[in-house]
Amino acid sequence: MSDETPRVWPELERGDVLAALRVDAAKNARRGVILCGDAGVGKTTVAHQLARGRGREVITIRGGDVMSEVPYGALYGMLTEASLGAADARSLDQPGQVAAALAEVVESRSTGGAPTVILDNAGLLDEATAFLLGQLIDRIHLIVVAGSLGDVPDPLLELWRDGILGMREIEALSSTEVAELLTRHLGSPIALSAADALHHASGGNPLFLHHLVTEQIDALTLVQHDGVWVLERAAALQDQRLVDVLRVRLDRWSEGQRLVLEIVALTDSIPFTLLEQLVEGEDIASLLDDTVIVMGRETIPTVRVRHRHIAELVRFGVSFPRRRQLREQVVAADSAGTLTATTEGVLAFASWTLACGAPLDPAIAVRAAEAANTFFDPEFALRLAASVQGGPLASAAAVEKSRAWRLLGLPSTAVNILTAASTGENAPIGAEELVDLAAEWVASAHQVAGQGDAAGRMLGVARDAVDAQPGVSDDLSDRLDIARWDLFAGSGRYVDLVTELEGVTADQASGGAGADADGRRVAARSVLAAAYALVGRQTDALELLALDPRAAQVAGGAGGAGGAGGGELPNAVLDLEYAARFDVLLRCGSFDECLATLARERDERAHQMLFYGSAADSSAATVLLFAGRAREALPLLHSALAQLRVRDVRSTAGQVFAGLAYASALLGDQSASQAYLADYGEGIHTHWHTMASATYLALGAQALVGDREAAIAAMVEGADARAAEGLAMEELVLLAAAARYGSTKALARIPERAMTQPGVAATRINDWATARIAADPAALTACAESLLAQDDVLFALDAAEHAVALDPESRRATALVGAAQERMGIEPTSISNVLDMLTKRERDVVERASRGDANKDIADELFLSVRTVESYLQSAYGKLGVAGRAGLTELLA
Amino acid sequence: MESVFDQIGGTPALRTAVAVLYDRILADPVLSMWFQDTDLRRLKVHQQLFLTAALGGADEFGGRPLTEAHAGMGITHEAFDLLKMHLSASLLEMGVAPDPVVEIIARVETLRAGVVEEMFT
Repeated sequence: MSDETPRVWPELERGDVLAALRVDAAKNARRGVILCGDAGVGKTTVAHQLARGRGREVITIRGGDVMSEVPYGALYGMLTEASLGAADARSLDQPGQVAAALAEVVESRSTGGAPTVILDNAGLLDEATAFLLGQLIDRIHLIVVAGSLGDVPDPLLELWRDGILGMREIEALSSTEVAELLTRHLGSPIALSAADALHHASGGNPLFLHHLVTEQIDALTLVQHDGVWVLERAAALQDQRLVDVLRVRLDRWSEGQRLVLEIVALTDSIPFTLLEQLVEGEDIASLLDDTVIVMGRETIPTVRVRHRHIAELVRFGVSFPRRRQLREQVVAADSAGTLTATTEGVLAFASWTLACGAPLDPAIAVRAAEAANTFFDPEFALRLAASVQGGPLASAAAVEKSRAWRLLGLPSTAVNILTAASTGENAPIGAEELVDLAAEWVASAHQVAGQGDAAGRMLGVARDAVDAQPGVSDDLSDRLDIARWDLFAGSGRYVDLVTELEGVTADQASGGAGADADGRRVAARSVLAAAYALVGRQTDALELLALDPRAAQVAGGAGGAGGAGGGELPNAVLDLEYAARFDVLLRCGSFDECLATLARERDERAHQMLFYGSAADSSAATVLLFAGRAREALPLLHSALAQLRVRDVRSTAGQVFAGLAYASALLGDQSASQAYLADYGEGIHTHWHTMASATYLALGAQALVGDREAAIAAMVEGADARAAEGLAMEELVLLAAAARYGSTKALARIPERAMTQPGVAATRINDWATARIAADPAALTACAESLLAQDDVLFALDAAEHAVALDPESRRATALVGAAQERMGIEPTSISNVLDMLTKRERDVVERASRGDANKDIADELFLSVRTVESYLQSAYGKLGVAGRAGLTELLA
Repeated sequence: MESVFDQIGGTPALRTAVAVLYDRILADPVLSMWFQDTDLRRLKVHQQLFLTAALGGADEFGGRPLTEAHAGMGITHEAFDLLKMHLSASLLEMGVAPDPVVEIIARVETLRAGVVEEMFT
C-alpha cells in the first residue's frame, strides 16, 4: 500500500484569480496589489505566480518578527548582500543612504522594465521600509502579502486608498480545485466524495489540506482501491504539527482569550449568556472583533469558532486534565442543559465527555448516536450507542446500532441486532419504540435477502401498538405508513400501491393537510410517481414530480440535515423522494435531467456523499449506460468500485459489476467484460432500487460477450414477468433490448403493445421498432437522427446501422453511425488485433459481410445456411463489440 | 475460511471497537492512569493495526514487538484481565455476535505472557 517515493505537494495554478488580477491592474493602471487572506490559503503562492507571469526580475522582501522593530530591518539582508554604494549594515541609521542604496538595487534589476517587488508577511514590516517602498512606487511593481488590510503598514495602505495599489482577498480552494490538486499529489484519481470530504474538513485551505491528507494516509483512512483513492471515514483535522502552527498564534493571545477559544471549540457552539458566566466579557469581545469566533443568528445568541477546522485543532490541542476540568466547570454553570439542546451540541458534548473518561448519560448517548448517524458518522454512532448498557433505553440504542451497521455497509449485522432487540429481555413495548424498530427493519430488509416478511410482521406489531394507544400522535402513524409503502415498493407491489396512494393523495388534496403531514404527503406522492412511471403512466408521473418536495423545507427556513419537525423533511422521506425522482426520469428517458438531479443531490447533501458516493457514481454511470455513453460511464464505475470496497452502503455492488461488464462490452474489451460478469454472478445481493437496472445491464453484457441466445431468452422472460406484474414500462425496456440484440419476435411485439401514456421514452422505442420492422432506410435514418438528438445513443446506432445495411451508399446514415460511436466513446481498433479474436469461420463470414455481400450470397459461397451465417455474424459482433453490420464495415474500413 | 477479522465486520468494526475500548479504559479508575498522558489517537491506530494482524486481517503492523513495547510498564494480571473484559464488552455492546468475540478473547489471552511482568505482581 505504501510507496517509497515521497509525494510532492503540487502548486496549483490559480488561473481565474491571476486573470482577474491582471485585468484589474491593466484597467486601473495599478502599480501593484495587496493580497489578503487566511494563513495557509496560498497568498504567497499567488504572489509568485503573478510575478512569474510579469516576466520581470523579482525582488523579495519579507517582514519578520525580530526585524519589525528595527528601522529598515527588512532590508538588512538584501543591502548587506548587495554591498552597493555607501549602504551596508552600519548605514541603516542613515535614511538617505538606505534610500539611495535601495534605488540602486531597483535600478540594477530594471533591465526590461520595472522589477516586481514581492513584500511578504507585510504585517511584520518596519514602518521605515514601508515608507521607502512607497517612495519608489513609480519604479517598481509591488505585490504586498498580508493577513488582512489591517496588517498593512500605513504608507502602503495610503497607496491602496489612492487606487495606486489594488486589493484582493485570496479565497480558499473550491471543491473542484481540491480534487485537481489531490489527483496530482496522489498520482491517481480520487473519488469525488473523498475530495469533497477533504475539502470540507480543510476549509479549502491548501496548507491544512496538505497536513490533513498526509495524516489520513498515515492513519490508513485515505486508501487506494482499484486505482482510485477513497476515504474510509470522515476526516478530522487532528495533527500535532498543525496544533503547533496554531499555538504560535494562540500564544499571542492572553490566558483569558485562550480560555474563551477552548470552551467555544469544545462545546461546538455555546449560548452567549452561558459563556459570559464562565469567562471575561472583554476576552469574548476581542475575539469577536478579530472574527476568530462569531455570533450565530439563532433565536438564542450563540457563539462558535468561525472556521470548523480551527475549532477541531483547538479541541485536539487541549490536554486531558484540562479537558476534564473545563468540562466540570461548564457542566456546573449549565444548569438549564442548553449545551445539549441542539443536534450539533449534543454531539460535541458527548464526544467531549468520552474524551474525558467521564460517565455519559444514556439519554444523551442515544440522542448523540442518532445525531451521529444523521450526520453520517456511523463509527461514532456505534461508539455512542455501545455506551448504553441495558436499561430502558436499550431498544432505542439497538435501533441506532442497527442504523450504524447499515451505514457501514454491513446490513446483516444490523438485522441480527434488530432480531435480538425484538425478543430479548429489553424488548420494546411502547408504540414509539416499536415504530422506530419497525422502520429501521424495513430499511435493513431492502439490503438483506429474505427479511421482507420479518419487517412486515414488525410493522404489524407496531401498527397494533399505535392503534391500541389512544392519543398517540399522527406522526407515528404516518411513519408506519411511509415504511409500509417503502416495503411494498421494495417487493415490486406497484399496482397495489397505485390504488392505495391515489386514495391517500386525493384525501390530502381535499383535506389541505397541515405542516405535520408534509412528510407523509411527499412520501405518498413520490412512491406514486415511481409506480406510475413503471406501470406506463408517464404523464401522470411527471406531473407529480413537478411539485417541488423541498418547498415545505425551504419555507421552514432551517438548514442542516435530518431531524423531523421545524418544517424539515426526515431523511427517510428525502431518500424516498430522491429515489423516485431518479427512477421516473430514467424510465421516462430524460437522461440529462436525471444526471442533473444527481448532481443537485450531491450539492445539497454533500456531507452524506462519503457514504453514498459509490451509489451516486454508480447511478450516474447507469444513466450514461442506458443512453449508451460507455466511455463516460467507465471512470465513474471505477470510482464506485473503489468506494464500495470500503463500504457498500446501498448494496450497489451488483449494479457496479453489471455496469462495468456492459461498458467494457460496448467498448470492445471482451475479457474485462467477462471477468466483471463473473464477479456479478457471485451471489451479490442488490438493493431493490438498483435491481432492475443491474439485471438489464448484466443481460446486455451477456448478449455482447457471452451466450447471446440465453441472454435474449432471459430478457423476453423478464419482460413477460414484468407484464404479469402490470409493469408495462419495464416490459417494454426489456423487449426493446432483446430486439436490439437480434430477437425479431421481441421486435414484432413492441408496436402491438398499447400504453396509456407512453411519454417520450416509450414513443422513442415505438418509433424505432416501427422503422426497424418497415425496414425502410429513409425512415431508419430519420429515426437515428432524432434518437441521437435526444441522446438515446444505443438505439440511434442500431437504427443507423440498419439503415446502412439496407442502403450502403447512404452517406447520411454512415455519418450517423460514426456520430453515435463517437458519443459512445468507441475508439477505432486495428484490424489485425480484432480479427484475431474470431474463429476461422467467423472471420470468413465477417470479411465477406464487411465488403457488403448479402447473407444469402455468403451462405451460398461458403456452403452454409443463411441462419448459420447470421449466427456467425452475431457471435462476431459480440466479440468485436459492434452492434451490427455497419459497425463491422466501419471497424474494418 | 473467513477470518475473525472479516466475521466481525473488518476495518470499520475493529476501528470502532478500539475506540469503544479506550472510552471504557479512560472511564476505568484502575486502567485510566496508564493512558491519560499518551497520544491516544496514535495509540488507537497502532492498536487497530496490531489487532487487525492478530485476527487474520492484513498485516500492516509496523510497531515494536509486544514484549518490548510493554517492558517496564508494570502491567499486572489484574490489569490484563480488566482489559480483556473491556474488549469483550466493547464488541458485545456494539452488537458483534458472541462466537467471534469468544475466539478473539482466546487469541488475546495468548498474548498475556508478553504483556504482564511477573515481578510486579
